[in-house]
Amino acid sequence: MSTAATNVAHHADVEHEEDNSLTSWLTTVDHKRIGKLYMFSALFFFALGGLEALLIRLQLMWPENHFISAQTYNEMFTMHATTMIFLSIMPLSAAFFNFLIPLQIGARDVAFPRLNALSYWLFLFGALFLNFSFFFSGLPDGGWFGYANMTLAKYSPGHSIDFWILGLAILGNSSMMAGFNFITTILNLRTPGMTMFRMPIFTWMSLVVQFLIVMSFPMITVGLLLMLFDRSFGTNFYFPPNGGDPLLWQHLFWLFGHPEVYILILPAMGIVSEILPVAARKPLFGAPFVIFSGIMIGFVGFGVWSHHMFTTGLGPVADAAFSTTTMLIAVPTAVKIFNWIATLWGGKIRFTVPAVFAITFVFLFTIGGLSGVMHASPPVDLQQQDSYFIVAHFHYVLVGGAFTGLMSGVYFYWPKMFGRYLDERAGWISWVLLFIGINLTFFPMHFLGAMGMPRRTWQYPVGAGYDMWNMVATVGSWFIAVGFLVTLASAVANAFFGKGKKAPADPWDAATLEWSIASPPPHYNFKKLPTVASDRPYWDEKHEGGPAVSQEVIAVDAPSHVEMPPPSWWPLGQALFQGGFFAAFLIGGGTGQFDADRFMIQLPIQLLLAAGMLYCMFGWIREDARPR
Amino acid sequence: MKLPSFDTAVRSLVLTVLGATGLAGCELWPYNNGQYPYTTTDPISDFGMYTHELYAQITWIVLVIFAAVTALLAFTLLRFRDDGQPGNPEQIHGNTQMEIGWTLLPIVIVLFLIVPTVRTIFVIADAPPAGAIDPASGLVMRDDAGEPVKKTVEIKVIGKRWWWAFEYVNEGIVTGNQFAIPDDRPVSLLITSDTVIHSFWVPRIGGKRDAVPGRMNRIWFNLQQDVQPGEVEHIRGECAEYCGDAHALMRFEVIALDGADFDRWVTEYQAGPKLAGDVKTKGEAAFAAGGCIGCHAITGNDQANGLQGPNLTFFGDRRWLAAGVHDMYPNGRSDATHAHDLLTQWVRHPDSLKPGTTKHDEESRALDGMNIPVDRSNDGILQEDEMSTEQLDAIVAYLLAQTSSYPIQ
Repeated sequence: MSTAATNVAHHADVEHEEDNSLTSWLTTVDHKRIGKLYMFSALFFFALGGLEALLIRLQLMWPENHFISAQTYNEMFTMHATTMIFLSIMPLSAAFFNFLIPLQIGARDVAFPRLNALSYWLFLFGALFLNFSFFFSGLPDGGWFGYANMTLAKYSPGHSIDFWILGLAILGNSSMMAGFNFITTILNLRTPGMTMFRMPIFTWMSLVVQFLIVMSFPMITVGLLLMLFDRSFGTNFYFPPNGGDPLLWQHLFWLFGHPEVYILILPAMGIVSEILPVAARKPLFGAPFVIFSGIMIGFVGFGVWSHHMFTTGLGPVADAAFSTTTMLIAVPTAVKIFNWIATLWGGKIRFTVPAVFAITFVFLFTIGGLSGVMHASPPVDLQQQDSYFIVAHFHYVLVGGAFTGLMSGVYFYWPKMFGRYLDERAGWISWVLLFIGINLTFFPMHFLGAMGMPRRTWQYPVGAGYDMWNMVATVGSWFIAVGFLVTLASAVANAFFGKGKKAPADPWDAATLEWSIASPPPHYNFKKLPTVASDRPYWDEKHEGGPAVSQEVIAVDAPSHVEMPPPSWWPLGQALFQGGFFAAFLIGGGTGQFDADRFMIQLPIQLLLAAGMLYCMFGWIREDARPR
Repeated sequence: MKLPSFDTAVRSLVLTVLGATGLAGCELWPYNNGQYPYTTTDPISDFGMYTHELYAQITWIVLVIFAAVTALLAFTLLRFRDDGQPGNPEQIHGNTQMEIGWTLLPIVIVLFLIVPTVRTIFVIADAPPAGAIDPASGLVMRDDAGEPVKKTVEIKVIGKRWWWAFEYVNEGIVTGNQFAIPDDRPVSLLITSDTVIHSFWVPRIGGKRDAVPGRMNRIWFNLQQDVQPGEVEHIRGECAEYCGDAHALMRFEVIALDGADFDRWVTEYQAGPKLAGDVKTKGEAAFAAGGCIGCHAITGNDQANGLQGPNLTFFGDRRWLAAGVHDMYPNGRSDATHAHDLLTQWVRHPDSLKPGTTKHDEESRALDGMNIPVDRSNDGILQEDEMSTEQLDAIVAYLLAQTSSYPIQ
């Protein structure tokens, strides 16, 4: 299986012409290519999730509107959230993990390049699988939080919830593999001299995120499996009439769901922590404190899940405890914000497009963070929970925060990834539209929440006073849509049609290793691994007379080629069989009872697919994947 | 140092001011009951007021922090713009004293948030008193036998797909989508569900509580607004937890009455509507023949004792159809035609007024093994041959005629 690909492109010479065939992309194990695959997949799903959001906003433009049906509306908000969280923000973060981590720590690839490819293919199958339910049983309509017992077979017959459960299980699998891969990479593949506290902040935040992923995804996976059992085999984990407890699902879900919030925001915080010092031409102020506050956020993030459940009646002691831990998260968050401002203070700030997006992140994230402190107080939360106030809050955190931070990363790292700048004018237009749009769409939702408008409602009544602000929000959503499309069009023109100014290796006068090599980096990243002596090795070389790390200085006498792992078909094959294995659960599912006839069809199919997985595993092990 | 350009300065300042005032408006906006029937900022119960006090306090703290951080950020951006001069700024790596300072500062602020929060949590978690409190002694007012004079009204709230059932625990009254409360004694609501998870929310009374199957949550309160005898205060409520197709259309109304009025309301509802003549005889017959009795109960109609659907006793008292969704009397009580037409449409083709209604009907009937002669097999429409216009008219007239002495305006 691998023979066709093994003789391609693993001898990477300096002058080597990039192989751009389809085969080379399907079999790639290069972290930079996988990063690009993640990035374009994420941008595609951003557009899809945005389309769903536009339909939601159009439906809410007028009171008692009939633009889309209640059923469609429920599918739209379910898929909008699921898409944005699992198929857009997480993979866009993954794009940066993949592309940047090896470059920032001075490695030639991740620790397990083939596992990395498997993560991507599983992600893609999971994402497509989730959306394919559209063609079979309708899109999932249980909300991204899929609260039991409504998502059990009695109230959600058919297969759409099964698609959701299995899709998320596949995606979780992919994320966990990537998590272990990056942890290993960061802990083991740092270049000589790169101590933990000389690592760039983005890599640090990524490390925290990987730990969050590998510790939180097992919990939702367990929750999803129990739900699958309830739906397919008639177990009663969440079914109250037979002694199950729907709150069990909420605990398992939010034990995952709250760390997930930090999985979404910490990469953006890492990116912003890279960009602000470059913009101010100073080091990051208090870097160890920024790092420890990130670790602190990740740590405490596991102890706050029940603040999503204040209205379920956990009792005053639990409410008080979870309220306290939740508010404590404000402390490391505030430390980060103060350090970002202190980084800018005393600098010579250059207002480039990525810098402006990064500063916007700080501003918008502050709003989202502060409204979050408000409903950390359970009595206040009783009035805000499940109202549009919450919608406003987490859109400020996720759109104003995570999305804006990732956009700054797109503009900042694009020249490194593709060798050409993203168009600056398009960047400014996009920023203006997004800034107006985000505030116009999401700020009025605070008001709507205070007026008592509940979330996830297909219609709102005439005479409730919700009309004006909903219209404003709908208008704002189009600003966001156009703003995003401007960047998307500019990115596509840049990557596929060669538009955009050529970028040098170090377009922003930055400090870390990734800027000391060519743009785009060669297949092997570093011809000779640099030895670093500080947390800003490249800046020190350029401005402080520090030891050289850039390739043009240190790699003059390096050998003419570098050995890299060869491409492989096994990850794709493994992903296909694994995806199929999960999908086959559909055959028996959805009835709420164990159906022996259908199970006897499901079982042999799954055994075949499991054999396929084993075959791929065996081939994977037998394959000579040593760098050649 | 070069001064920041005028446009940048203005832009930043305008943004700051807009943002700060916007957030301020969020909570301090006068969302009064008149224009905003679901407002969270105009509470009329003690429970709501505890929350509101804390809400306002935290909002102010948060606004001040926001203004300070934004001002600091805006100033930094204006003051430290690249001046175009060669050379790099001073390379400062950090300052431990400052780090300690801005770690302690948020801790102190958080303390100011946590202490009143925890206090309020325990205040609203207290068990309700047995009856109304005498303001002079601070004790429950009791008669010679030791019984509370104005006993706490206990109501069990049950979330359904997609409507609400209210069961008066001591009075034995059951209502659907509308219930009455007195203004002179505590009201205790026991919230649960026998379907999926819902959330019971009357923003003007106070915060929401989830209706979780298999669990019982409680909120209790005293109305702080004095309702005049003979008058009715309407308070709107809604479902706040996503519960399926018609989650958006699962509202209800609380009618607050003067204490003495409430006692008479109870007596009347316990007795059931007093109907006579054709409306009663024809209506009851049609109600039974149409299969309505299988799911709906009406006090005083011995055949009608179904438990699946909303209790329809004194249906004529209700202003809203289909769980607080459609106004039956938009032109006032005198115009009964609209109510008649709307109710007819509701029985004939419920999905046209509220999506998902028949779907769930079919679900629950199939699952509970019920065999009801109502057949909406043709696209969920009850056709003429399944129920004649004459029969339906009798049912509609029978329902709308059931008014108590507290009809809704």
